[in-house]
This record gives sequence, structure tokens and C-alpha cells, in this order.
Amino acid sequence: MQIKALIDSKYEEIELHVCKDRQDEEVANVISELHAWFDESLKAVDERGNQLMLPLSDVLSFYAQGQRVYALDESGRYVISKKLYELEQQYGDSSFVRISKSELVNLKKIKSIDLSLTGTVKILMKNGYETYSSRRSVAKIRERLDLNKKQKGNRAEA
Amino acid sequence: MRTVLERGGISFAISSFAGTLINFIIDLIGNACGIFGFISISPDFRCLFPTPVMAAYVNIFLYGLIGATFAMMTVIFECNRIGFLIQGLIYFIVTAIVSVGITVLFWQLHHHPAALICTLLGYGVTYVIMGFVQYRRLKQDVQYINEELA
Repeated sequence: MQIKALIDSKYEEIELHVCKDRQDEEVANVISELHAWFDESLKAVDERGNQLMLPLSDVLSFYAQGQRVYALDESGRYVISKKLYELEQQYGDSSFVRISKSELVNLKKIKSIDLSLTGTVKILMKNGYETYSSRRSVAKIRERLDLNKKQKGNRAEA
Repeated sequence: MRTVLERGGISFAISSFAGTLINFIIDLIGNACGIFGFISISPDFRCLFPTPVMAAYVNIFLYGLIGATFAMMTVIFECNRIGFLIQGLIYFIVTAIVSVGITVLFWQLHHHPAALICTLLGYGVTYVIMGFVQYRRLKQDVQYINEELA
């Protein structure tokens, strides 16, 4: 397999072309793997300014602070070029849920939710990160968990 | 800040219009029932102003002010760190001060103690019931989620 990079101003974003003399299983597998990797990863910039692809499964939350949107994972935070509402549109149906005006969290990374006597809803993530949710978001989280449970059940039956 | 002011502005306009429309309908009904020249403004309130027209203008402004306060104070519900019961309490206190303050100081509701007590009680009890019901529902949701996550 050869890997070539073609730099041309006509390409506004990265395009991957898989080239072979015929359509076969190897081509299908490579395309499938590339899709899985790119669809499940996000372009991010770390605190040193290095660009990288951040796997979505590692992201604990997306939050807006100042004029920027950040992704938080176990090793730190990264600047994301997308807006929060764009991330919600793209990933809101998968494992991310909006918990406030300025934050989306990864459902799979939630450890527990704590409700205080004054009605404060604190979300505890698996790595110890804590954040606060609005009351309405709790109902959304419950709905999403129910939906995931149903989908798992349907898949198991199938 | 801009969102809060926008909400306040829009609610001011809607409340002023709605209040004036309701006054107009009541006036029409009053006049249609034979009370010619009937205007739905409290006589105690009217006495505070040199002319009934000025009282009517101030009335419209007060409707708007009440509406704007209710709308602008919704910003408190966006502060997730302070819990919705405290949010509700702050919202209740500020809106009660403005709306009850207006009804007492301007519309002279204190001259009708039964009406004042009923207004205050109704307002307060509604909030208590709402808070209780919401807290219970939230507690059930949180319990369910924690069981699913465990």
C-alpha cells in the first residue's frame, strides 16, 4: 500500500481517495475503517497548538467558554473549531447530550448524578470531573438512556 | 445581557398590550351593561393622578413593567449551580416584590385586605406546590438514571 499526500488549494478539507484496479473486499474494508475513524474522531488543537484527531469515545464533554468551544478528555482540554450547536446537531443523537446552555456531556462517561436539597443537579464523570446540569436536562438524559436500552433490546432480539 | 434586555423589551410590549386589551374589553362590557362612562381603573389609583388619562397611561406602563420583570428574571433559571429550588425562590421574591409592590402602592390593593391576602397566598402556594412536584419528579429521574448507570 502506498500513501501519498496531494496538496492543492482546490481542496478545502481533507479528502481521502482509495485507489485500486478493482473493487474488492480489501477496498471495502479500508473504506469502512477510514469512515469509522474519521466519523468517530474530531479535529482538535491542544494547548500547545498541535493539531490532532480526537477520538469521540475519549471525550468527556464539550463546553463553551468565552468565544471558544473546548473538548475535555482525561488528558486535558482541546480547542474545537465547531460551535456547540453544530456539535449537538452532529453528535446529539449518539452518546452526547446537552446539559446546559454551554455544555454537552458524553453519556457513556457519566458515573452518577447527585441531587442536593436545594435542587442542584451535579453530574459526576468517571474521571472525577464534576459539572452542573439544568433540571430539564435530567429528563433528557433519562429519555436517552431509555432509548439506548430499547435499541439494545431490539438488537439483542434481532 | 442582550438576551435579557430583549426578553424584557418584548414582554413589556406584550404585557402592556394584553393589559390594555383586557381593560378595553372590561370597559366595553361595563358600558354595554349600562354603566356608561365605566373605566376599569381602581378609583384609589385614579386619585393619585391629576387626570384619568394620565392614570391610564401609567397603568399601561405598570402592566409592561410587571411583564418585563417576569421575563427578565427567567435568567436566574440558567444558573445551574444554584439549584432550581433556590432559583425558584429568588424568582418568586423578585417578581412578588415588583408585582405585589405595584398592586399595593399603585392599585391600592391594601384597601381590600381579603383580596390582598388571597393574591399573596395564591401566588405563594402555587410556587410551593410547583417546587414540591418538580423536586419529586427530579428525584425520581435522578434515582432511575443512577440505577441505569450502575
